[in-house]
Amino acid sequence: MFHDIFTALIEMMTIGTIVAMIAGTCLGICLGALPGIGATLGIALAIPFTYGMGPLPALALLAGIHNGSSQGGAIPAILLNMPGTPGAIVTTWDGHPLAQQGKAGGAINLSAMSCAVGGSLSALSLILLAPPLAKVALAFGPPEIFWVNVFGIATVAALLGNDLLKGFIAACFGLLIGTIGLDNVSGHERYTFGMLELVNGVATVAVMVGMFSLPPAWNLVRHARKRQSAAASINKIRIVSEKIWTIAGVWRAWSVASFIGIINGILPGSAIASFIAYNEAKRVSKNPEKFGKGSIEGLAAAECVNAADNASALIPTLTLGVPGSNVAALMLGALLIQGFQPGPQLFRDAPNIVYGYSWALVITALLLVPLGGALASRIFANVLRIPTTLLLPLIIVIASAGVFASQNSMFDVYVAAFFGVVGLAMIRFDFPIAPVIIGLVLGAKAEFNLRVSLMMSAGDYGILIFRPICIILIILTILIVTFPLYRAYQDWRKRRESGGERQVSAEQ
Amino acid sequence: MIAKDTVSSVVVFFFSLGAFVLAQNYGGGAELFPRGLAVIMMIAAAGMFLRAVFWPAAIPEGTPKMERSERDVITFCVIATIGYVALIVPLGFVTASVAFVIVMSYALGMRNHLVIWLTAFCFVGALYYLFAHVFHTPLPRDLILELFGI
Repeated sequence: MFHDIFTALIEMMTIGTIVAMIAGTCLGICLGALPGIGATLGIALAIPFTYGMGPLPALALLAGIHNGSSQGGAIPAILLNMPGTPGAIVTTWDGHPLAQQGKAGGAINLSAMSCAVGGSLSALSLILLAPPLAKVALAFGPPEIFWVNVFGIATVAALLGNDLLKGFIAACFGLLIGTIGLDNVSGHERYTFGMLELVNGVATVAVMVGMFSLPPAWNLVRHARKRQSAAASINKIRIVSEKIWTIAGVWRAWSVASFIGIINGILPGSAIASFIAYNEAKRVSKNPEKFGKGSIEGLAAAECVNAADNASALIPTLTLGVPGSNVAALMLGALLIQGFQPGPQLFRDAPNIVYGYSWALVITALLLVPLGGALASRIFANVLRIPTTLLLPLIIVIASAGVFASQNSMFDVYVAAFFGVVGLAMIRFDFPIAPVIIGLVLGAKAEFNLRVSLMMSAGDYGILIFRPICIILIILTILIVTFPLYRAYQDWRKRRESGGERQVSAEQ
Repeated sequence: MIAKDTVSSVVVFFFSLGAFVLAQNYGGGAELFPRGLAVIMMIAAAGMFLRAVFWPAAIPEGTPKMERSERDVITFCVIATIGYVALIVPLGFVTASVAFVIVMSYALGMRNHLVIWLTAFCFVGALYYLFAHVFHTPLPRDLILELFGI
């Protein structure tokens, strides 16, 4: 294992890969700094461009975008009190007060350092925790793999949205899209409606780009007014780089936030890790009264946790082929595009790729220190000046060109546009999008393993149940599905109790 | 919110029913998975409908309501994107993209002519060059480029 890890590090040290990591990190910081864009859209747009690249530079570029956007979100959060990414909301609580005290440069330096610490620790956890898990997963047969896929889909459907029913509908929709085309086992055509282009199924890239990049691009017009005022205020900000923190002052916050971030990444679905980390950092701090008024520790915790779940979220993705977040689902797609089947066999068949990618996550996290520091951020903050009115058509043009080039097919561009509209409708009707992509990516694999299992047992469904690992996975799946129901029941009870109290007080 | 869930549950139910019916003739076991999924979707859609009608308080909070003006602009953007995609083949990638960037920028209220035209030509040109000469992936043949004999 260690031989593979170090060999992969050496393989990463090529000019092409290093350039890809630097370019990806810069691009990620810019994308993260643009409210409404962020890592998901950035990676969705970049994936078609990676077709022409080798696997390591391609994954290095995507790793850079992933880590860079975590730190990029802090720039508008600190300078303008405007979070670039959802995770940066907590950053505004102490980051902006620091900027108001004239310490914007120091705050941005601290945010870059915190992201570097969180991101690199998270990537190291990926390197150390993933191989043993993959070793266990290699012993799984088709029934177990089927349940792993079901567990992954159920986890994302139940935990990534805020509505269990809608999550399941979205996941089943993704699985249904995955059935389009020739059936792997019987050779029957399914849902092709006589279209030749659909015989090989719907292109995953087209669906991913359509759903993850077009709706956010269209929704950019909603941020237009905010962005205009932000652009106007960029000139008024003076960024002087000064050291406002010491390692002794922030190590507690970094430790707590890294731990929470890594655990949060491994267990998908929690969008409140930054809030938990912030509260925990406040609890262990010697100066909790400063939190919310420009606390160094508060900012360090908020930024560290944002980056700390980046790589750890890939542990279930790379070992089990089960993505737990939007970005992880996209990375799964990126690996498939490069010709690799994510899952435990990846550690056996292509260790240089999986460890190389892990190293790219470590290196790009560390690159945030020079690239995301105050001077660089002063440059990247200028991306906020790009008017939405120009950015919107440019994103759509990039998406169309990327999708077309991925298979030289105009049909894929139509598919992307179609799924863009479907994605927009889903967002308007409060359906989560991530389960669709995860269903699409895992669908074929889940179905194949289900059918192989049934062939192995001559049609006896017992093979899917009466095996120890299957039983554990079934119990876990049931727990994951019932957890939101329990949470909803508790919310309903609380609402009923508070409603009853209000009624009593009104009567009094 | 209740109306949203009622409408979407009906749409999902009929979509799933369609998928279920279409799958019935596949045979060879190919129908098993899609039909199972369609049934799950129908059950979930029915659950959503019943919840919206009989237990609306249990519906989790959704996205905040959009202003009418925002909705109109987004609808325009969607239609313009569909129009752009439809024009890529007849006009070619460069012509359609340059026209799309210019038209969208003006339509969304930008009036800095130099920035719009310069960005449209330089950005689309750079993208075309990147695909055609760096990635060696030609984009759809083009009107403007043919005029210049490229």
